[in-house]
Amino acid sequence: MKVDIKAPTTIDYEKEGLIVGLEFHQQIHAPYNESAIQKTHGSKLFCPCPAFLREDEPDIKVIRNFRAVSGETGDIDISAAFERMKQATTIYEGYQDTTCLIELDEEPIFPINKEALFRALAMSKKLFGLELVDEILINRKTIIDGSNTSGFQRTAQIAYGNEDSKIMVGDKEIGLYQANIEEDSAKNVGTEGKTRKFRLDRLGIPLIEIATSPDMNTPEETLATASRIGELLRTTGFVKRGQGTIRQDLNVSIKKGTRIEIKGVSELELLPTYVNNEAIRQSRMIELLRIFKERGLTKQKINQIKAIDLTRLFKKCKAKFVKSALKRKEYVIGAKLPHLAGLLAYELQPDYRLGTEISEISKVTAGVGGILHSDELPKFGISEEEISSVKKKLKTKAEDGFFLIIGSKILGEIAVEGVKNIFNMWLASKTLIPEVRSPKTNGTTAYLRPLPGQARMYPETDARPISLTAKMKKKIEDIKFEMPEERTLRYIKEFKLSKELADQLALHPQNNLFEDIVNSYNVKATLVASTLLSKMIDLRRQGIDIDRIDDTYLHKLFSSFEKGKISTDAIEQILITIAERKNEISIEEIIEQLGLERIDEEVIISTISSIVEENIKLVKERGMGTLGTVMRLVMDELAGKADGKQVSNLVKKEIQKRTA
Amino acid sequence: MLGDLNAPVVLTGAQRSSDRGSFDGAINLISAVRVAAKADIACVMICMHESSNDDACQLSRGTKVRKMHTSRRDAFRTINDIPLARITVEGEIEELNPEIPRRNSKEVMVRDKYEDKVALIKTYPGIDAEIIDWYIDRGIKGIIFEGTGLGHVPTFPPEGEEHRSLFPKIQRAIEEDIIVGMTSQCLYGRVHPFVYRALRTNYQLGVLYLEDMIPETALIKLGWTLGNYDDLDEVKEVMITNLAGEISTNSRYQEFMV
Repeated sequence: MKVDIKAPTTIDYEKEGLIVGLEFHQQIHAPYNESAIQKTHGSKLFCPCPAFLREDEPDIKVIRNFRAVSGETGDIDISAAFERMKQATTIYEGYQDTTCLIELDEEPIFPINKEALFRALAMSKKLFGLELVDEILINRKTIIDGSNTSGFQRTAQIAYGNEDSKIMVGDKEIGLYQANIEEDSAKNVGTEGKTRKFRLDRLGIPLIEIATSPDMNTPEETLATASRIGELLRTTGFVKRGQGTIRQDLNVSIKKGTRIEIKGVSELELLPTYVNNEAIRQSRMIELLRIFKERGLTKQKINQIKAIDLTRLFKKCKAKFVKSALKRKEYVIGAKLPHLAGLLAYELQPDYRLGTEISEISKVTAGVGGILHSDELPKFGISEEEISSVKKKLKTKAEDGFFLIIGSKILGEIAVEGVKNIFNMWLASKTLIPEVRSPKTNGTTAYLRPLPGQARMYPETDARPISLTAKMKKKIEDIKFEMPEERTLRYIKEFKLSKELADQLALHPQNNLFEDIVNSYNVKATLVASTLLSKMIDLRRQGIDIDRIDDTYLHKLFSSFEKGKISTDAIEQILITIAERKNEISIEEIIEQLGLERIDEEVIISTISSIVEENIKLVKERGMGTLGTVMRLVMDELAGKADGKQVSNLVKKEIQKRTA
Repeated sequence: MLGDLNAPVVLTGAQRSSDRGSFDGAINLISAVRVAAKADIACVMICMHESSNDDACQLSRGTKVRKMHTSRRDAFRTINDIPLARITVEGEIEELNPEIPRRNSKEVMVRDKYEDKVALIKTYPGIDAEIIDWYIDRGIKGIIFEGTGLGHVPTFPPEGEEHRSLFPKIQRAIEEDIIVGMTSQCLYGRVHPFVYRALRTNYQLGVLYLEDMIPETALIKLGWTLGNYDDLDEVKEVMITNLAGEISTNSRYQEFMV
């Protein structure tokens, strides 16, 4: 039977019975105590270290080996994962001044960050109508991928859903299921072979996790729901902002498929693509399993697959990457894939083939760089002759495929075993197996690991249960969050902003900062709003890293403006300089060094007067017609030190005077 | 006390609990077993993490090791000595100390008697001197002081504060045949009986200056010595004689903060 290699680019969601649920993770901004660095960045959940994401060179490095731990391995596949971990080495990088022994797993945790807990509780109850638990129990969730130094993530359920727990997304009700507070993981900054490298700056930042019911049925609804949850969280001012502060897990299934978790999506815009592609993948996988059966692929045949050393066959290979690998004393390991000829190019998702899936499985099981498979060869400088000698050595028949791994012998063998395991699971279950997939930047998802069971949760013994006190409940009861729509109306009324500006600002993560600035300094609300909105977008488009411009700098900027030290025209120049040279320079120094100090009106008048004098003939002849020319000359002379509007008024006056 | 020890005796443990993926005890245990099986070191040792890394363990002489951190993996540090050896996770043993007792064919002798009427007293300015009377009245047999610096205890208080001096109390203890030993709360370094007048005064009374022994080792040694020897002069002699590496003959430069 003819196999359709290409995957469709879309699918009938209703017919396939698409169901999507979301787990929305958002970093909470919450200082552990009153120090300035904590107020700026917030703190970690179980220690006072600042929640400060850094790019500079780390100055702490520790090497750890994770071990299989007993009692948590209910599932054979999870124990397989543990077996792999035994051989993995993990390097952690941290910073002497913002990392402590808790992140390094060298000290028991401090009591929970009370402000973070309060904020998470308040958001759960007030934004989503979730019911708060009476007692909060901190749990350890076993995670052995190296993203936690301890081997577990601390997590606590803080609220659960009832019939009132819902939000409106468009005209659809989306139910909320649960809220948790948990620690963010360490950031993976590279993997080489079996060594994984993580940074500790992100580890332990408090996260609120909002889980929805599986009430979404299209990719668009998923996006709209995620956007709305994000808007609601941001409107509180309780959360961190900027790239990487939000991550979502998607649970996607179609009627004939199963629950697949797509873990850690940070690009909101890609959500619909992942949902669409996953629905396609599930339907394509079901079709693929049918083809396997039709072709007679069985567990026995998979179990007969052996990793064979083919290095000798590539001694004279012309392909550069093979040559240099052999020079490094690496091996070419190959394995037959029975009945899979032509199927390795079978697309599971647009631009994601069965061959890609095998490559990803090899990556996660053995950390090998990638594979070559029979449907894409000969190519990349590997010759027809080499292919036929490989086929001979692997004893493949016309209906069989094969794949090659270039790397160390042991890792090649582990990868082949990993691929066999997954095929066996597919064939055994006759349908899809619940798994965790990792989102890729092109909108496809890659195999990560089987979906773990619930057995991996157990109590955190270093912390006591936390009862919700009457005082805490009262504080939560008393806090009132302004919904984005209410905020828009208030901005229009209170700050005389246009509807458009108010709408944008109401949903903007810096809206509290906006109010702070407008209320602290005598500056125009529209100037602050346009600086935070259009000016920042403008700068981002110019490639300026605006995340580096923190709130304290913006406060100082508008304070300088209020004191008349700078003009509106100087603002952009100053923002760019902050982004580029933050930490080395103060606002005052920037103003001084760039010569942006606003000049007195007298100086402006005398500059105008002398320029008009120089051009007196023209001015007398053409009167107001020379306004533009004079204006340009004056602004050039003053170079950002004066406000354009003010200059324009003064030039007009001068011309009137001279021509009167 | 294991006399004439002929093989390694390795003690080990963990600083992280065994439920975690980050459990450090497994490497410690595997390394300890490897050392017990194949190292040519006939000594009672502690085998724990060398650093915060899971890449090697350190072997410290049991008499010269102290827990120096409440929670870190590498909390157990060698004091006033060089670690005997290190062992990597791969099982490579690298000897570090030039004075390693070797495996031999002697017969091990166990002497396990112990006198538990011994006390360890940390001194400080303002300490209530009557504490010593209390111990003497309770029938104490030996006292180890953790003095300041080179081995000081409050001896010459200002006028009007004479009751704060430990001197008359120490005098009473010695007159009642109680062994009094001096160590330092500095932990690192050696006590000295002659540098200052207060040191000399107590030395002349008969206080034993216990060289570079760490206070806890001195306490255990005192209990053991009193348990196994009856003659007081012999007890005093044993206390200042090195039996198991607890007293170093000299202080080496590289022994500090290792």
